[in-house]
Amino acid sequence: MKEMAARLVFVLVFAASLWEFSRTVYRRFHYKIQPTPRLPFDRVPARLWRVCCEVFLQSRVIRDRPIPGLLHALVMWGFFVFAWVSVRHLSLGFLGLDAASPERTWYGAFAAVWAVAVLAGIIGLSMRRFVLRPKLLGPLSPSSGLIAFLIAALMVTYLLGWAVFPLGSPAWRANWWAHTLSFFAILAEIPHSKHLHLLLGPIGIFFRSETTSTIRPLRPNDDDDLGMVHFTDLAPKDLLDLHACVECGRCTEFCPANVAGQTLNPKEVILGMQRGLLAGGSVIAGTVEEAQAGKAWVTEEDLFQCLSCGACEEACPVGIEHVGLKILDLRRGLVSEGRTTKPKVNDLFTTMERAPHNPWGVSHETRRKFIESERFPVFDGSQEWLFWMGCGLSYDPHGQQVARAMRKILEAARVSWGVLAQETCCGEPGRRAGNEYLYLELSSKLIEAFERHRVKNIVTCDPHCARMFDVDYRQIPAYEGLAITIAHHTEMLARLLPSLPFTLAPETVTFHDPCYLARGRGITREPRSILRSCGVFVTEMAHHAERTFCCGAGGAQLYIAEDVRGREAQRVNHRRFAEVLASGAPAVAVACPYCPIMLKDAAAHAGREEIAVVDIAEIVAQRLGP
Amino acid sequence: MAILVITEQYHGTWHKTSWEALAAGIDIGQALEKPIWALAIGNAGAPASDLAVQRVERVIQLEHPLLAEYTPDGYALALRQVISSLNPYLVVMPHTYQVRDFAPKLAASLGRGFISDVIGFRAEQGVPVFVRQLFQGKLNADVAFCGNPPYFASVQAGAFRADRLERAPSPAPIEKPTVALEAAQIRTRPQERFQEARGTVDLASAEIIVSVGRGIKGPENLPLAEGLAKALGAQLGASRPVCDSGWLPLERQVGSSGQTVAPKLYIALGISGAIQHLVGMKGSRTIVAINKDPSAPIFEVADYGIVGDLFQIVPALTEALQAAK
Repeated sequence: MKEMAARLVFVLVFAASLWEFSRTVYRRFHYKIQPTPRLPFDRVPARLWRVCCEVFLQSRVIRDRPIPGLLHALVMWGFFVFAWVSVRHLSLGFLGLDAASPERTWYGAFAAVWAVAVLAGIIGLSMRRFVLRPKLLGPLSPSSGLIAFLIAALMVTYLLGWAVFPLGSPAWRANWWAHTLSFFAILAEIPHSKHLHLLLGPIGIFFRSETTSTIRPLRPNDDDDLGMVHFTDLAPKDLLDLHACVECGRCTEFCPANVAGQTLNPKEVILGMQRGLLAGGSVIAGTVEEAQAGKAWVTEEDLFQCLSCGACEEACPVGIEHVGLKILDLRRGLVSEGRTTKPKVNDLFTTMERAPHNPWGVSHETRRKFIESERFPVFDGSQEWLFWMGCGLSYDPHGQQVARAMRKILEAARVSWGVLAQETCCGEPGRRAGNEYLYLELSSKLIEAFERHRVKNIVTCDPHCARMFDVDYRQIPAYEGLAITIAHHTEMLARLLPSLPFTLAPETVTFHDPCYLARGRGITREPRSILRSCGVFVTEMAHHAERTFCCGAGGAQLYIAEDVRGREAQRVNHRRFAEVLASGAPAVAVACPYCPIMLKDAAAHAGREEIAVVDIAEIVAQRLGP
Repeated sequence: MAILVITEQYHGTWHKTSWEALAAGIDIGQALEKPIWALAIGNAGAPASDLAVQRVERVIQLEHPLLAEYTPDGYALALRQVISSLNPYLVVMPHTYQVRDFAPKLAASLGRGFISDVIGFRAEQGVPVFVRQLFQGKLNADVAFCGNPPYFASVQAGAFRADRLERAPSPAPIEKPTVALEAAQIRTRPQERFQEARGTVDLASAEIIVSVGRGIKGPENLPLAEGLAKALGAQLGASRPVCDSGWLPLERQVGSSGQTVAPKLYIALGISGAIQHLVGMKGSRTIVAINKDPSAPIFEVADYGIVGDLFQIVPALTEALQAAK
């Protein structure tokens, strides 16, 4: 009779905990949102491999924070080991505790070893969270304490049941119940807190875009309301992102704007949106005053500090896309509703809207004179490659030197190439700053020109343009039909190098990975292999390859960044240049026309103008013989 | 039939291009042998008497409570009535933002042509032929009116010289015609004037700017540039690294993160010419660059370049300028 009552209690507690879990999860996902873009199911093997590396092997978690990462991995791997232990344990609840058999199997011992490892992990993580208290974790979370206690309780009760209490004794029975109740308490608590990440993290990682800062295409029903304005504009992946956040602060730790002392905090963007969603908010972004009055959850001020460098997305262990899907889409919403109050942003749009349609407003004459005096061949459809100069190489004096270097290389390699007689901006700063309409205008002009000139292959020194032509433009059907292939010059140079006649000249440089090349295009090996082939020794900076640190120009900041009085020491380019100096290299190699503008500015500020800032194309061209 | 010059002022403060428009009107009047009339619009107070002392035959002061603040409807309706009754040969206006706003509407309401933003004129067989720029100043086009007067023209700022205006021996009479205006005819409701927040230094309106870059080496050398600026009557500007280092205040910064300037003369001392600086000063009419590096990009945009040590050149230049005074 007593046994029957116990079983009944067990079933009731089980059902209650399961009910609480599913009810909360259902509530957190039951919001009116947009059905599109749907969660992507393309490239499934690649996505599964990513889940395998980042979830099961904890590659990202350990990479960025080795000690806490390893402790976290111990706990997580312990969960997998304990899956079978829990099945066996809970089955006794249905069968009755009298059915228990000795746990002295090899698996029981294996689980006991893991129980000790999980305990070590939990103690280590608790020490960090409750004693060391790193600022990035934010205010103390009672839920973290509760979950840590419950996990520890699970492990201790397992060890007691396995090694100490005799099977079936009253102490053993009480211990069994303690373990069971801890288990159900965890199940009920998970969906109420950031611990939901253990369910949503792997899903978010599976659905994450291939490269960082990917902006969603317009929806068919987007007419005047182009961007993300209301919580009803969220897409399924956004909802997943908002609930998956584990509040670890890795995104903020790697955010160049935040590191440089600005107010943008990617973690708070996500958590602010999460709070707004749960509180039944309507409009997502607004001014600082609107946010203080509870009418908005993310501020315009913060959104327009973003460099769109993708560092936060690269750092996120649960696959949240802060930049492309949130920050830039919220900018797009503010701009399309005419709610931007930043004069510099509006000035940029006015400059780009007007002829000659480039973000600096420099006359076409400057470029025309340059390509005529340099005798650049004009692309007429008969050449294989269109060398797209972009605004950087067309108008910036250093960019023009890079263009000269490229000509030398293309001629030496006997590539059939030409440049457009006239270029207008591809729309990159416009789209990143949120002006979708401006971007559509400029892109339609270019797509028409590409079609008219029968362009098939484009090579460019500008990773921002490459990104536009290879990702953003492909969202436009008229462009997809042209089937144009895109190469950044480092990709082309890496292919051409073996066939080029050149002399080795030893030199030491550090390589500054442009964000839009390393994270936006996934190219980190080619630049280094080119440099090595030139006899150049590359000494790395603290942040390099896909963990690079932005120069300060991205996300249209080159044009819209505001100089704040009294904060002159806190600029992103100054931070990056300090890393260049710390590398000890006498020169820094780049592969983007905007990084040198920012780095030279920082060099002048530091009074270290002797540190050369050179494009990889210049390094190669110097060595072309004879 | 006379030449009527419409001037612009705000609460008694003249828009400086009003005088240039008046100079243009007087030139045209003399060439065509026609009398010159000047018109002040809005609740002007004293300014009409400023016009009366010029070499004009009559001054028309157009006042009405509904003209106190500028509205395109109010101005166009009032001017239309006055122009219809005065029946001038040509109406000359300064090419200000306000004129750009109401003048096309005014000319069209009278069914007449409007030649905007002219930079010069000549008389051909008693008919004025105007010069206006095309293709961002690459070409000059001669434009003449057809049809019947009154004709309308606006003159570009800086194209006619106001300093040649001479006072008349005796003041011209001031007339105050009445105009019929009703509040219902005016569709815009003017708000309070927006005053753009400006620093204490208004580089944007400076005619000459001496700008310093990192080539000045340190704040102790700034008096060198200040001396040259003083000799030229110029404002002092700077590149971003100079302001970042705190050698000069932030409001003196020229470039995309500072002020955009377009003076008649821009002298760049020790500025290499990063694009972020160039975009802030490329509109300058004449650019003089002094830099010791012959490959400095500033020479790409400079009209005159001196390759050399600014510590030798600037004192010599300052001395020569002082001697010439």
